[in-house]
Amino acid sequence: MQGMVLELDQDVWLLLTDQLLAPPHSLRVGAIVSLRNVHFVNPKFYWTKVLVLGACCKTSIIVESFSPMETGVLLVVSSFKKKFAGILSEKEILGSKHKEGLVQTYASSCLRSSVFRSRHGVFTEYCKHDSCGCGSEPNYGHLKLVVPISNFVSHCEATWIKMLLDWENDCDLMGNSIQYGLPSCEGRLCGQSIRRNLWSEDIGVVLLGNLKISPSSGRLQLIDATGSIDVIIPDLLSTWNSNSIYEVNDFTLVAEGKPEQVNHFGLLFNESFACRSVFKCVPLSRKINLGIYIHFYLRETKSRNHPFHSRMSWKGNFEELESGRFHLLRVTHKFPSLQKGEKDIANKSSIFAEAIFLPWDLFLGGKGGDTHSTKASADQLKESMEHYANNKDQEHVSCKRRKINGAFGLSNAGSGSHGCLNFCSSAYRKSFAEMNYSDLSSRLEIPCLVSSSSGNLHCTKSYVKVGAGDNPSARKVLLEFKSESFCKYQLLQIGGYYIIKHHEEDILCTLKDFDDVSGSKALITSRMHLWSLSFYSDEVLQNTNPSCILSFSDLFICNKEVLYEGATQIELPFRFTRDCPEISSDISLYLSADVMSFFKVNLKVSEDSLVKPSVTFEESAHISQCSGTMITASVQCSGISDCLLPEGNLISLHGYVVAVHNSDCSSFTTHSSHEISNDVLQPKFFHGVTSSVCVHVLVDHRIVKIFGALSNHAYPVGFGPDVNATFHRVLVLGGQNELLLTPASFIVINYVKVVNYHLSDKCCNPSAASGLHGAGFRDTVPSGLISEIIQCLECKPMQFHCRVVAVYILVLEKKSFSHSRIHSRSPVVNIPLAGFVLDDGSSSCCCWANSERAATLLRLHEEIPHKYLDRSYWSSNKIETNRACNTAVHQVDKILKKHGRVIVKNHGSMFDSSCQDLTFSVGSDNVFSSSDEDLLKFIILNACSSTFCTVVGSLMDSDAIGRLEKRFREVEMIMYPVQNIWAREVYYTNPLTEARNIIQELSDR
Amino acid sequence: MPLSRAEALGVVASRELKPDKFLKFIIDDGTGCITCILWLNQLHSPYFSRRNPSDVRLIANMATSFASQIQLGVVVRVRGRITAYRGPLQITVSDVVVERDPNVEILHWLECIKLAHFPD
Repeated sequence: MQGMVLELDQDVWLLLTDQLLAPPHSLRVGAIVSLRNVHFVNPKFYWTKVLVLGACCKTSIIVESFSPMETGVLLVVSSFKKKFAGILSEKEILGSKHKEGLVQTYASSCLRSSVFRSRHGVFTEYCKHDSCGCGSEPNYGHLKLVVPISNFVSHCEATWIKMLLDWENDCDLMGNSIQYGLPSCEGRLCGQSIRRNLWSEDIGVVLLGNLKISPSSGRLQLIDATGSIDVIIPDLLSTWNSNSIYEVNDFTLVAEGKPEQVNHFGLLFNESFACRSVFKCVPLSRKINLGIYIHFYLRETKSRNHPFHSRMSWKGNFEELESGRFHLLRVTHKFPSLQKGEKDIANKSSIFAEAIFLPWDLFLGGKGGDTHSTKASADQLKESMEHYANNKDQEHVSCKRRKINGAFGLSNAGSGSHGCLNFCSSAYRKSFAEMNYSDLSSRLEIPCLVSSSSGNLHCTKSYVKVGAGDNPSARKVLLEFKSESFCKYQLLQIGGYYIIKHHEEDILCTLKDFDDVSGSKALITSRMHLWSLSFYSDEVLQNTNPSCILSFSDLFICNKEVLYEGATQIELPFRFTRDCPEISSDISLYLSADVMSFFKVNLKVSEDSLVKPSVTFEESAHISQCSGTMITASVQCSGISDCLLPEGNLISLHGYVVAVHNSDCSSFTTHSSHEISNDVLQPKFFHGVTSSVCVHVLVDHRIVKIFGALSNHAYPVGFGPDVNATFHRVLVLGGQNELLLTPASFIVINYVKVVNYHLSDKCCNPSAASGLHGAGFRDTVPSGLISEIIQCLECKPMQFHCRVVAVYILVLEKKSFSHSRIHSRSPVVNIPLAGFVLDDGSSSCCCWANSERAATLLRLHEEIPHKYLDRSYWSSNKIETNRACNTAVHQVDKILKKHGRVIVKNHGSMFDSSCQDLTFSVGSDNVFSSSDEDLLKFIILNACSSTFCTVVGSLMDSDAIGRLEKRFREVEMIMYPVQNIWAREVYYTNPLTEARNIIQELSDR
Repeated sequence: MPLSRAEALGVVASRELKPDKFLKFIIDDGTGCITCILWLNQLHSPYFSRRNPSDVRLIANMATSFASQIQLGVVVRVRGRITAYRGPLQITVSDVVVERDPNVEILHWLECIKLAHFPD
């Protein structure tokens, strides 16, 4: 599709997409164009506000057709050209006459086929003007912008800064400061980093790119030609292909950085998603160094994230899985990449993982077996197991093909990829019933069911053979990954089981000269495949209900705590620990329960003899007794007495990171208790960019400090406070609850806690504002009267039903040009300072609220009667005849556009709404017109003569009062001696619910 | 403690309008009736002469709007000063909210009971 979009004004675009008629030559940059009979197209793009002037054939500029969609498609074309320049050829992006290009594929995937129509001559189009689309533009508000990643990153930065500023404005009265409640440390406190998250629905964009491991950081990233962003995919597919283009629709963005960066940066005018930026070819540079990553799922059935385009067919080498012999291994440790800095491209270096090869091999039967691949149910497995037991003398047991029953099925409709569970049977001379442990430990074949997540596993005979290899016992092997197979390293999880195909010249088989201490080294080439494996007892099959199989949504909200600001915390899993077959691994092995328990014991024994993967902290307290189970630190340097190298045992620790402090070097040397000389540590181990840190980890209700001076690369993406992490191989120091990160330590993040802010602006959404918000508080916070809360000395929250009697002070500001307008198309007013006099009949108090709650108390979403509106404005703007523009918030927004900031002070009565004496001062030099004044007065008076609302509030402490006094001095106003309350939540009372609650309360007395 | 202000909620039982002067109406909350007076003379009253004219205009506009909403049979929430006229108590209304949810009546009773329980 070709065409032209002309930027007439910042938000006004003229759309010329016609090929039949060339646009006039006079249409050039800088020209002033007058358009007659143009159509106003309000495309309601989610990501930006734009007015499109569509020129049709009745227009004086002769253009026939227009649509927001065409603008959208042009944006996609431009975006794709930018994104895939150098990755794909122009032909592949735009397509040719015979072959569909990427743009067309993408556009047709998200638009209905009816919008693609063939063109006719001008005359026909003129006649059919109203019927052929010009007259009836459907709503394409659901369309999302495919954004170049560099634009996305700069948008994220701007949004983070904006959120931070909003948050500071919101919190400074209550002093919910950043470092509040965090443990202090001997180390110098560098500012805590602040994490903020956004959901894809609130951003309104789609990301497209390749998934690749960054050669510089070794991290998984989504990459296009313009930039890259770190990604966390808990369910990363083993079929992941770096040549595929992935479409990521549903994701969570997490941005983390230090607040002091904001000060250097100032306020940002964010235009990353403006049409101009997308069309413009200048790449946007990153302005601040924020930790930004996105979190999404690839296997979730409901998710709309999927590989979108692939240049070569890729089946993940699952055909290899069809038959053959596989070695079974368990990854016991991953070593972080020992890179010496950003410029040390990983070409030369290798990454290592430690694994133990178990004395078991998995044999998968081929297609040509005497049995059939079929879908299986729990009953089938049970039946077949019984079958084995009953047929001791059978040479061959064949299995009939069975249909899966309706109630249970591992194949999940809609997923497509979670296909069949292959039922396998084979000949076994011994029955399970007769097997005992000694039998099993000899060379035996244990039948099992195997299923694969890809669904294309066609094995028919499968069994796990004990001691099948040349080596009867488990062996420790160091797996070496060169840069080309870093992606395989990335997929490995410590503690996970994997299978690797057996080859005759297999290094794993030929390695004989291993020793128990250091093990041997095996190179994993890019052609070798590691499939993850999970063991399940057949009880799992019986107990599994279909809902377990793929419902990720319940994984999200694990721990809904109500936070100080009414936001909830949720956990974003970084990896799956849940026992749900088909998700957690490529291959699932189902064994009968007794074999399973044998397996468990046996695996544990073989592992314990080599390495203890995880030790609880309790155990580490008795380190002297059980040092045999630990790995002795290899950094001992007993010969030289001056060299104060740390000595001790390495343990694995699992806990919740409370705080991460940056410490300077001097603070380490003050740690005389364990006498770590930083001078010794620094040059020997830590090259490259290092920063000394102290991590406070909550383990079993105790705070444990972990010191480290690791290179920045050693920290996983997203590491910081509020993550649940496992620290593998940290050194136990002599001191109390103190540990040290060594260069071999590896940190795994299990989940990160993020705050689920209410991003949708309630004040702009009447249904939300008048609805039943605050349900979390309603149950937890006791209700009371204002006179009770005033007498209460503590700052406990309480809810009360009250009305606004008067406004004390209001500071209204234009919300800076930011994400807020992307979240909701309505204008949003910022209210950094708002004090209201509330009365509930028992007493009155002064209530301070943040922007959102102040908007609720002011009833900014309510419509304003016409007579209070500025008539001159009203008559001249016929476009905005929709009702939303009559709301108070729109009107206040218009006033603020003129003045930037309005301060309203009440010098009159605080107890009688009609006797308020309101004065107005504005931030601009413009005259504050009487109509604007009347409008604001009306809004305030309307708020003061309205029905009840419910406020959850708590008494402000002396610190908060101090901050309040400071704000009063700034606006030159005196404070009245009234009780001050901070509103934690404001919502409109539902009379019925409230009446029920009071009856309950009264009858309880 | 002497009471000066009150809020009452009930059904409008009678309505007597003197244009540009006042609206006198009676509300019935189930326990009894009280007369309410809503002044409509702000633009001419010397009581408001010292106030900011725009405030007075706004208050007058709102009073007119309240008066139009107060119709026989509707449930209204009135707030105002407790005054007396030739003996009986009345409420000199400062604002009026027409309530559309019938549950507010019950809620109001319960709020009254709750407040009555509260020890001063």
